[in-house]
Amino acid sequence: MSAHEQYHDTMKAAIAAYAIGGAEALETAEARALETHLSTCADCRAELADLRRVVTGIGLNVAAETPPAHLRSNVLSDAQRRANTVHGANHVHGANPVPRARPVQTSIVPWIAMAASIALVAATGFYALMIRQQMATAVAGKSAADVRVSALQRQITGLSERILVLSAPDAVRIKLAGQPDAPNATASVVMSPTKGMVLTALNLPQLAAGKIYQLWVVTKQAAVSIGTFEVAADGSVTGTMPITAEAALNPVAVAVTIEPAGGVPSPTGPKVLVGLLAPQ
Amino acid sequence: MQSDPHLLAAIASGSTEALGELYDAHARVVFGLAKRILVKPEDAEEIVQDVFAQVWRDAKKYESSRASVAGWLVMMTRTRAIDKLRARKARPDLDQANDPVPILQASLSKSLTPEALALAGSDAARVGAALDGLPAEQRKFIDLAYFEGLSQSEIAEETGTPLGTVKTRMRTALQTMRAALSS
Repeated sequence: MSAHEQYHDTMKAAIAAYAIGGAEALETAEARALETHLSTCADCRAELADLRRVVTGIGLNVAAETPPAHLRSNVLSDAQRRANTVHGANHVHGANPVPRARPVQTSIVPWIAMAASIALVAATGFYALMIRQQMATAVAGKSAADVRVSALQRQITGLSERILVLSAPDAVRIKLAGQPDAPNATASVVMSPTKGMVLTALNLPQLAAGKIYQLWVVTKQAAVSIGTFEVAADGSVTGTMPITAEAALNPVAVAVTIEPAGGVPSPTGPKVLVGLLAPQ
Repeated sequence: MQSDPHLLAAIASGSTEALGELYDAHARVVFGLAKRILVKPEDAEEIVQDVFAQVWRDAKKYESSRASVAGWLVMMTRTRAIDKLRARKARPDLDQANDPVPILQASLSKSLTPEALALAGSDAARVGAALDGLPAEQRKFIDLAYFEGLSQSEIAEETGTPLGTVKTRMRTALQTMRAALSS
């Protein structure tokens, strides 16, 4: 094998990581060498293009999940706001062209003019710096406030959903008991066939990677999946989930199982919490 | 319903309706991927918002010859989510302090989602089948690189595997999936 072929093979070995994570997946020198090699090697460019298709396929194979409903309106109102800003800025610019700076009068005593200019430049520079700092502080403050507002909005949405379920006239409370795989776990579910379910659980064990908790309503016909969830570091979780018509029909029990990440259509893993509904 | 490239053209000319339609078609994939990487739903929501803001800003720059719209969205999502993951690792204390109680998320099994059905026969379906068939170690390296953003050296360190072996196995894994694309 020639030295050139050997080098080509060394570069090929780096393409996989580069296709996934770009230059950051490699050491700096290796990434630079690969990028130089790619600029001259059509074979490696073709391989990289193919591997990028593969990598996109990895992302597309992740289980899709429905984002919260409020997110769609956030995305659209954000776009609308940006559109208005751009439009507004153009409008102002068109109607009020930026005034041209007045020409500086030359003084009879040139050095006075020069000293004044230097002072003006220094003052302007200082002023610009001050404004920039104030702007940066204001922008940072605004984005921190935006983050807090959107966290609060999420909490309010979560709480309102919970109140709707808890105050529903058809709501029933079911206590769930820990099973041998999670003997210390306790939970309660409030279930309203019309408004949804609220689950509050404590002391659930942390799961291994690739595993997730899944909540089920067991009816006389089948176990109906309500959804998957993760727990906080202390093993607790609380949240609201919608209930399906199928789950609302003749429910007899509520259970939580451990399942592969992404959830499964019917329970396969160990039960960690089980609660029976009082007979109707 | 319009095709993705038509929607992007409409978005580029300022149609928020088209943005809404694109969101309806792809937000579940974007949110699913962001949440797979970041775990916390609120972090994933932020990524969804950022990705669609970027679509709104950069729709003109989209080149259909380089990637499908779904591929473009997935690429942006992964990049932004990994950046956030790295930033989070750089300030773990702050992150812990703000750690909220996770909110339950309804999620269906992958095999039941409309997206998965729509993928049947496509590149992604073939990649998915090949991915599921990979030996566990190769799969682990791919997961660490793609979903955790680790470099080859970091994977070698994390798994206690020689760097040369990491490189070979990652390449073998991607080549297996590449072969599945052309089969």
